[in-house]
Amino acid sequence: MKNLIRIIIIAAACLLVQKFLPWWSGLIVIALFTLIMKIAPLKAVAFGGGILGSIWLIYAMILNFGNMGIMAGRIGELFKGVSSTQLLIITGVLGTFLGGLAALTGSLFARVFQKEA
Amino acid sequence: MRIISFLTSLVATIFIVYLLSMSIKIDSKTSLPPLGKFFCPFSGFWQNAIADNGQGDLKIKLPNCKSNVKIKIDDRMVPHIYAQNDHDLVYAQGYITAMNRLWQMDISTRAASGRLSEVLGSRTLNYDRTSRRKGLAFAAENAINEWKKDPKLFQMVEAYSNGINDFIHNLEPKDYPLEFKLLNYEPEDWTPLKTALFVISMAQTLAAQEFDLENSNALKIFGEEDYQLLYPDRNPKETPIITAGTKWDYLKESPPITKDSMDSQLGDLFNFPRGGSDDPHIGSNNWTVAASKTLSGFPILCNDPHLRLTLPSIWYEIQLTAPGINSYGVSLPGIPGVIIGFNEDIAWGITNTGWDVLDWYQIKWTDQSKNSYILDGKPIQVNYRVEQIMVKDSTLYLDSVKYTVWGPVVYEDKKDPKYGLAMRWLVHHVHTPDEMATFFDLNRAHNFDEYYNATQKYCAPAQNIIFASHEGDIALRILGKMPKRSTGEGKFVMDGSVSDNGWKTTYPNENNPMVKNPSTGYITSANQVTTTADFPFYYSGHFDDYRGRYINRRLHEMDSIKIEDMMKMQADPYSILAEDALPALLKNVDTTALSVAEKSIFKNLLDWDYKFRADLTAPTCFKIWWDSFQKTTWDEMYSLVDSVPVLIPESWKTIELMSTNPNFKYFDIKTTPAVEHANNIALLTFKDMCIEFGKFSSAPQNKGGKWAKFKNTTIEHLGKIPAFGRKDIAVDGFKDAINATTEFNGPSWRMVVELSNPIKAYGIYPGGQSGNPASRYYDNMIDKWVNGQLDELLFLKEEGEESDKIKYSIELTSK
Repeated sequence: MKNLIRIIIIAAACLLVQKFLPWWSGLIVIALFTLIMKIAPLKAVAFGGGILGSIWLIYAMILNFGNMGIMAGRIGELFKGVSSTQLLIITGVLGTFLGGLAALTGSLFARVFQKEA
Repeated sequence: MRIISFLTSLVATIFIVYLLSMSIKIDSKTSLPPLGKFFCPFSGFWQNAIADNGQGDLKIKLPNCKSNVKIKIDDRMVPHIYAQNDHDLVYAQGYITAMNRLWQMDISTRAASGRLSEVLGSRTLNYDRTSRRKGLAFAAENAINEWKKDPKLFQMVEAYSNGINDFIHNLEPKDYPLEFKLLNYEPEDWTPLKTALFVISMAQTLAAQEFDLENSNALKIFGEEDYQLLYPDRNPKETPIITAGTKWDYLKESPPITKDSMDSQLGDLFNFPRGGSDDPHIGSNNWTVAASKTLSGFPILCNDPHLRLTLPSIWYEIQLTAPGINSYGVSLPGIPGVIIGFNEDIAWGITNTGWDVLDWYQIKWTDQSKNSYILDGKPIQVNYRVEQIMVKDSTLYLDSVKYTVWGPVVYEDKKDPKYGLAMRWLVHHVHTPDEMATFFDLNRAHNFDEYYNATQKYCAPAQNIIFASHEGDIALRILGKMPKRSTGEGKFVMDGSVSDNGWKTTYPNENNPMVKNPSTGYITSANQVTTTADFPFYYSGHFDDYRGRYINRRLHEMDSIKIEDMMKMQADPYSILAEDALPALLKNVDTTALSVAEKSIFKNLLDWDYKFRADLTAPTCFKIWWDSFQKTTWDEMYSLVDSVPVLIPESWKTIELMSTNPNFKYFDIKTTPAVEHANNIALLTFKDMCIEFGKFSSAPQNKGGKWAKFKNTTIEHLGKIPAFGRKDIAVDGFKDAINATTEFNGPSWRMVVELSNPIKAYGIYPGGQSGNPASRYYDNMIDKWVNGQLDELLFLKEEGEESDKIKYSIELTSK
């Protein structure tokens, strides 16, 4: 339950800033929340990666669906024959990777001020 | 320890984000966009993946809008603008055009001003240098200085700019058109100068045709006697636009004293490659038939301008309505008003005259420093214009261009102390304060007199503007200024040290050739020669007139003409070039010397109806054969073209010589000991063709050598991004057919208008209204265009008129 609330809060904050601020703003939100929530590194990576990856993937899927895949077809051809599905996967993986990395940084920063066990 | 792992993670994150925010150069031609920004669905390409399936009505508050403007968008995504005053109409046109074509507007004016390298890097530096050396921006600046003298009109150009800018200023980076994201740069403000640049770039496409160097070299190499024989000014079979019997009694001026152009001949060969010159076969058709020849009893007007086919298309369809104006047609993204179109009373269309208004002058430098040159025996200082070209990821490039009385020195050989060629172009200085009033007034014209007055104001590029009215008049005028040339002037490179060698002024527009309500009941223009030889003023420049002759022949035969007949005619791939050339070629082939396989190709050609249809093989065989026949016949010229530009005789001349003078000395192939005649060349090139056709047709992807595969029509993306273009288009056509579709050029807009009440109009272009490659309306008209179909155009009479074709509306209101 606690995790679910955390996920919802982080995801909502990410969505909000990404709507108005540069593309990397979600990373800062994730780093800040993992820092404040003092989430342990491994868990943070899973949280951050999962959240940003899902947001990027789901949003791209929604846009792709509304556009009936025309854009994905064009960009896929531009990248020498990448399929629409692969493009969506790339988007999701990139979000996951960046989200995870940002979360790890936040979490590691929090640990700097914690007593080593 | 913990601080180290944190710092490592932090640095890694920042470094990766930084990397993903940078363009990555792959090779000299390609670079990747910043991948993080590009893939992020909140900022990158996914944002441009719009749904465009009839969004709801929009209301937008804008700073420069004076009162409410309503823009209705129909099911073909054509905007129908309803404004309450002229300012808002032009303003809204700018706004809606930018909404759909912003990147196209940006890149096309960058190309004209030599500013591509700013965003594309060093690979376009040479292109930019050439644009600057030709003085395109110089011409645009001169135009602006003139336009400013008519403040009321200039306000219209500014209102158009403001409309574009109010759109740009409301954009977030995530809303930028896809190409900005791919090339990683931002849109900049539009200015009236950019509108002028767009006008100049059209002039560069349409009014820069000349063969001065080619003519000079041909004269030098082949001698005067052969030159006159090989390159005559007129084709005896030609059908001029302004037909025989036209009286010239309306002309107000007499021509200047005739000089012999041969006098100013220079002794040198101009032996450097030209490079960068455009395909000269950008032609167009327009014709109109009088009420007496139509079934409905109202005139019909047709136009199909042939330009380089691109995506986004060069044309943008629009309806413009305000008090005093209700016009519909195609506009150019960058210029206010409808360029080709109609209103409730009249219709108009344009084709290019192809007139030569660009001359080259050899400069006599006073010394090696080349700071001054001789004119009429006196030294004159050059003016320097320093061109600063910003190059992305590189240093600033400076080019000091020398300006003489003639114009900029474009070609310079640094090693040759004497050498220099200056370019004189009518378009550099021809502009007048009210030239932009042409289309402004034409959109509002209701009869012949108003059409005539509107066309008085135009400067360049010179066009054949055709007209038909509901009242029943049909007419064609030359739109544009005609330089007052002495006979033969401008054909060859001229001596730049004599000021008398160039035109001093232009004729008043009243003198332009015109035809009105001819007894034939039709008027045609297809870039052929403008007038019969008895026209008293000298001009030169036109295209071969196979299309013109065919249109005239068809219209002469037809009666009770319907709209459908005209649509069919626009898609007709019949060519008189083939009709003239093929029988002459076939007659020259000794069939006893042919193998069985060769005989079957011979038979295929014999049975062909001269129509360049996509699914036939005969056009492929003919094209290969004819090209090869010309190259072998004119080996004297083709062997030189890579080192010395030299003119190739026109195809009608080749056909005439083959038929009437088959033993002409030029048929001999210079590299063989034997003496060849036309029949030897015909047989030789026929056999060569059979081999080449065999090779081409046996490749599995070439579908047995069908014409569509050989012609290979491609509509390229304006930035040459293959994924955003369309290739392999199986469409009929040939450059010398009405349907003049070639590899890269073709009918860029087809329009048929019947001047009945209500007006009936049809149109199509090979593209779509949206400039967004992810839109359904990016290339939705191509398939219909291929089939020769035209869409019925929705011409709304008034704002309140209901139509189920209107999908949504945009309301602009003042802030």
